[in-house]
Amino acid sequence: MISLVWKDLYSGRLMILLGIAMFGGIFVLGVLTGSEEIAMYAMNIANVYSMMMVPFFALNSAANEEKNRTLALLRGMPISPKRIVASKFVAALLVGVLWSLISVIAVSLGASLFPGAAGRALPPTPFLGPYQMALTLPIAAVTLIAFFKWNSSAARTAIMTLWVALYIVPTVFRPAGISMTEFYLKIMSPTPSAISIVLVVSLAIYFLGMLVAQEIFARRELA
Amino acid sequence: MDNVAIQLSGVSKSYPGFELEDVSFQLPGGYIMGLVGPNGAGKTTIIRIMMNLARADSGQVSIFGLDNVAHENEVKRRIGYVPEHHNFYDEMTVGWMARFVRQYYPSWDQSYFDALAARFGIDVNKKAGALSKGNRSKLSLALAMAHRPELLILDEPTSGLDPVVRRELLAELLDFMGDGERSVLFSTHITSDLDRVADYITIIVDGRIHASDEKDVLLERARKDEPTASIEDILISAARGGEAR
Repeated sequence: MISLVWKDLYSGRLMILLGIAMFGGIFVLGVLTGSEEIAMYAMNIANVYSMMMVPFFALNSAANEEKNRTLALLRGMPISPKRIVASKFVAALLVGVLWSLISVIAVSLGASLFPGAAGRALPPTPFLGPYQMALTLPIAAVTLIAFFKWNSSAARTAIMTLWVALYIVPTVFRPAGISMTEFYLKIMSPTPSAISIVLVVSLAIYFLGMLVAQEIFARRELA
Repeated sequence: MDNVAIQLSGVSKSYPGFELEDVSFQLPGGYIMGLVGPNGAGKTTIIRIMMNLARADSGQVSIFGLDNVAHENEVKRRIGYVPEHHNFYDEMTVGWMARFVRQYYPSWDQSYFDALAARFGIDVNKKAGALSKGNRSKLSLALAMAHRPELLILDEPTSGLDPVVRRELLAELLDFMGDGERSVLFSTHITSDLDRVADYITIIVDGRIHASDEKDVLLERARKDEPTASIEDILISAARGGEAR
């Protein structure tokens, strides 16, 4: 399975490298100019990318597979359908972990380089990146299930629908008397225990999604 | 027969508008079988069922005496498969494709792949997406042969190729058969290819096996009525509803 995961990481390397270049370039610019605002902007990029990386890497990888019609190539080789599915889930998760690490390092570095920004412009915790990444794992799982059940067009529809839901659903559960801005700030200022719970639950959903996708793909006939 | 490469027994499969009905035939080890039929006859469906890319509604497929679904990976490690459409990671180079594929075949022979690529004139540094149709076919065949499989399954490998490339591919097939222990199932609607290489012929029309036997036996039977009959004549007769031979 390592070669399948590596293949996905290699195929999607531009997405990862572009993200690193964007974040790194702006961060270095902030440090060189001593601009707290630019450095903070770079850290926000790192955090936002943590949120986007797993679902969009998964979607990109699925779309590439479909464009090249290589699922049939893989199924013609001695590779079990379950392994093919697992590799997609593992590769996307690895990318998410990588970006989470980058965001943790960025925020920690920002806090040491710009101590005045702590508690003001800096994210409330260096672990906001991993937390945001974890929030999107269920979206990535459904995206990949849609791909293995139907195609990348269904996966694209799933990702767009769920992304909108990620913003709308919390409003339904918003406690009375709290504005949307206050509520989102609260969600994005998680306590360490909230981060742990979200990580565990999201990972569980993600791997459950993987099992569902494996069952679906093992039964699917390929043209 | 002890050494049977492929055995299909009563395989049926239905899709809307198409039905594969009670397909049975066997290919003894060490021979080349041509699976021939008009477009849409069911050749690709049979091959997809054998490769477990499609599931039979009923019947059994065994390859090397093993159930093709229960022992899928074990069977596929011993098969070289060239599908109808040659799908590669187009943005990757030929060399990368070979390095990727070889990891799944313990018997992969890199020097043999390099020799095949050189013989076929395929530049291993070229991206797969930049290859011509003929070179994609050749790459597909090279990847399928490089692990020295016991059985090659080729789905319309010569379709759409010019006569020069077709002849090269067929010559390579005969070379591959050299030690007499390997088998080939070769689906095509270009019957002249079979005249050159096939030992056995299975004719399929409208999802049903019309005839399956040694090529010479089929020709001998056909030539009782028509002294100059060829495989193509037998196929045309079958497609027009002629009696099974």
